[in-house]
Amino acid sequence: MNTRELPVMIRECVDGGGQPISLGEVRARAVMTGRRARPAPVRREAWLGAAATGVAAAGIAGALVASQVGGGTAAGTRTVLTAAMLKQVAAASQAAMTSGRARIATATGGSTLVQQVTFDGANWNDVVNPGARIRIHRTPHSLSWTGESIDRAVDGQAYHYPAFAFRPTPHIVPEWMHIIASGAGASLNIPDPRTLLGVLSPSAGFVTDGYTTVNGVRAEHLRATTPAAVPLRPLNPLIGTEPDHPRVSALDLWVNPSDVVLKAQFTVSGTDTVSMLTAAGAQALRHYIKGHGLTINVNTLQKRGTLIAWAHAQAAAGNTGLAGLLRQPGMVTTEQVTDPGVTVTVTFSQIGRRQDITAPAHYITVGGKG
Amino acid sequence: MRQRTTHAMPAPPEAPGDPAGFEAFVLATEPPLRRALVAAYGYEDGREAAAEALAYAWEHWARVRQMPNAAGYLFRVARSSAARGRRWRRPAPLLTLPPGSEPSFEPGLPAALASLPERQRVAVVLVHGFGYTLREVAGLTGVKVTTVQNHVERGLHRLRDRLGVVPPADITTRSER
Repeated sequence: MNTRELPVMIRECVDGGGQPISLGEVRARAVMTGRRARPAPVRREAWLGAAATGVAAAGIAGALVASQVGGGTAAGTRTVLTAAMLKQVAAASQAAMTSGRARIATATGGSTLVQQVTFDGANWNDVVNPGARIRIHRTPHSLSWTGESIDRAVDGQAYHYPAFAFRPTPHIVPEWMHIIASGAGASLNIPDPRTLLGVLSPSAGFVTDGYTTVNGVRAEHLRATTPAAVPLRPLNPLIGTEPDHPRVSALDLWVNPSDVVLKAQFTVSGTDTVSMLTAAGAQALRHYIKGHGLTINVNTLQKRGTLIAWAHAQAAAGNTGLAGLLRQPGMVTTEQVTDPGVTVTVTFSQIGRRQDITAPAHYITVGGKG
Repeated sequence: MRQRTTHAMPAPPEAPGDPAGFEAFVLATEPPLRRALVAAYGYEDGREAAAEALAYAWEHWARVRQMPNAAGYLFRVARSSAARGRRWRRPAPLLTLPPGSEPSFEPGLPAALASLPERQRVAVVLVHGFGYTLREVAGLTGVKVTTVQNHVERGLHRLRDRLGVVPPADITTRSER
């Protein structure tokens, strides 16, 4: 083969793989996709600005596409999602999520709080601890309860179904409350799960990471490689509690083939400052306990972390001797420890389907929640 | 009273203003656009992206017709379209003919082209293969003329190395022997 044959072969190679696109095919495609020729813009000046923006956006997208890892998307290759792709996911999700449901599971320190949020336009329903039976915990000093409770906002009106007996025993009958206080609807604090779409930023460094099934739908896993760059603000409504110096330490999304987010999971961790007994402090405290004949669990005695908690509790309960011991120099030091923080998992379902959220049939009227 | 038909037919698309102008535009723009995108993304994805871009031009013809470099704009539209389409699935191998077809060209050419970086591949195909001018390719792909020239030279060098193509000087030398 010589160099004069190369152009001929390139032409045959490129043109040999498919037919030219005819005008009829373009028209047929327009029919199939429901396209309609749009009228010319009225203001030429305005169009020029818009066209320039469009070209700039397309250019940015093109440039970012070129930055795909390895230059391709072969199997096993992780693809960096471009700004345009993330914008597409955010727009598609926002457009689809006019109504639907979201299960929000918030895991903190071994316990998990579950909320089932249903939304349809301006109407909301938030079931906290769905299906959980009401349990009342009484101690000599406190009364607490857990169980299913519901917040509901319908046409600007706020309703609350408590997780405890509103009327005193023996008639434990929780019942709906219509809250008529000014701004009561806002006080319900129902989290809008769609706010997490705000994390769809190129700064998060999203890459594709395989496929999985979410609610029976094949979804692609998008993993943030630089989650710490994600601002916390879009996630704040979904975080019940957060550690000191919080930052996003993990962020994963799962999207369906229509670019709609089906599931999201993120972890907000931080660094807490805790008081710790020094070695000398622990020894002095053990001597104090032995000398004063105090009763203490052996396990508590052996661990500095739990020992100082016990000592602080004793001091708070009035043991002035212990309180004085803890105040002595060299007894207590502060340490920075990593707080595993909170992991929130949001799973969407019934996206775009109408949700029947109506006012309760029966309720009592109160001036404010709680 | 007219009887309603029970068969719903798809409504024909509204013809864009200046249909003759659109037809002329497609005739002039389709070949370089399709070839550039086939070179960039392969037969299937490239042709699909080109067709999608032309359908986009149909929809926005009133606007596109006024653009000084409509082909370049559509090339960018097509690249975005191709990137979206290729995001969710494994892209087809570049320039691989269907099984059973017998190519009339060097069998190693598709693989050699595929080994080039995308921009070099597009430049070599359009300039060296189809004879478009550097300026035309620069306008289409949105880069400077000198950049296209660099892409062509580097791409051709790599392509010849890969295929073992004999440069013209060596041909002369051999014929003189």
